[in-house]
Amino acid sequence: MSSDHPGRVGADRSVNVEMLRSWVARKAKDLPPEGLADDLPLLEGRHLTSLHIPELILLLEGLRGEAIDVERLQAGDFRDLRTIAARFLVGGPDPDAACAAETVPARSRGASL
Amino acid sequence: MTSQTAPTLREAIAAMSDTVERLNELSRAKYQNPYEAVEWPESVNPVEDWFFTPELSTLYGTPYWQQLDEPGQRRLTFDEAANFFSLNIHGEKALMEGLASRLYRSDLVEIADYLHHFLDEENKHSVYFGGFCRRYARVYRSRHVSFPRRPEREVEDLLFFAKVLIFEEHADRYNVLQAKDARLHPLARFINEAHHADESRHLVFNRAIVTAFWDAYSPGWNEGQREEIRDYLGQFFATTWREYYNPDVYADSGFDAPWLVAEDAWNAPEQRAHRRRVSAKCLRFFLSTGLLLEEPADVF
Repeated sequence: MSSDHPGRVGADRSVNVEMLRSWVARKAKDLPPEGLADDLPLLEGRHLTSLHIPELILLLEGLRGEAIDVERLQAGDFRDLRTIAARFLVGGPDPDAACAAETVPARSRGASL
Repeated sequence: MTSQTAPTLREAIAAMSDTVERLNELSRAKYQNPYEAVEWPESVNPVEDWFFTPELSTLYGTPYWQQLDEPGQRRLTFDEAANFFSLNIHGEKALMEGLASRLYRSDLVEIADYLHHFLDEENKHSVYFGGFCRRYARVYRSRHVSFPRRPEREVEDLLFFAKVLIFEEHADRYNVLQAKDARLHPLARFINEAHHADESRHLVFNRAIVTAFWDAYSPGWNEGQREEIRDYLGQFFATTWREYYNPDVYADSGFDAPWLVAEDAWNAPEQRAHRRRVSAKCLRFFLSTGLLLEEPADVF
């Protein structure tokens, strides 16, 4: 089992942010000696690439327990840890999520599997 | 700076001209009309028929698979068939964009005829995949996000065709296995067979053009640039495989914690072994050319 364990819906937000930080620290390349600061530019600084985003979205969806409307995303949404946490983990539900077509759960059977 | 022994791109492409001409002839000979080649049933029954080889399911070999009865397994794999077709739709959208942007570019004009076939055939595949998903299931969303491209055209060319190669080699393995699987509904077998028929040519072209770009350009890159390319391709292996483990599919099949199911399935030893088997041929190519020096991390 991975240390990043999405799907724990309703977990404390600070726990979710720490899981996000842990994921980024594991994936990011060439972090500065002072470490992963909240405002370190992740894409602009080429610590992450656009190829990391689908996996990051999966993590964020699992942590918050709802889908993200991918069609409305922009590179700026993933600028740094602080932006990602504010945009996807901290605060109310994502208003865009309601627009995501046929997002999960679409046909829950109601019984745990 | 380019090494004296490295071919120019023109020379590297000229070296593959016989292969490209043979592929052109085959594409012309096997030209197909996707609107006449298949008769779509009025409806299909996802719990009575198999639409996806069960052993290819992302939950096969995990405890989740055992918790489903056979109709439930059929239902899950029907949704996985729609996901497989959907990720092909999204992949082919990006592929068609990339091919169209390279049509008649002055340094690639010698392969323009084949790019026309490639583009045409990808569009036809999407007609099949979209036809299935829109009639009987749905088109699952992609989690890919388009960001501004890299400034270096040579790197962009290499990465574009290398990503196409990885994506198509994986999908083709699924196509080959499913086209032969007598348990599957004839429509599912047909779509897989039709895709494979064209892809077998694309795979030959992909390997030739990736080799041409690598041979022509890589001697002029420094070690840092080559390492960045290798990191990027390694991450692409992870990204492209992750798409098969789609929480939206698990939710449609009735799982209450779909992201957890996706994470567990991704980490299951049986699934790691499965990915390694499917990627083996493709990995051998990348390791033999030097495009990769080792297996990508966190995938197998």
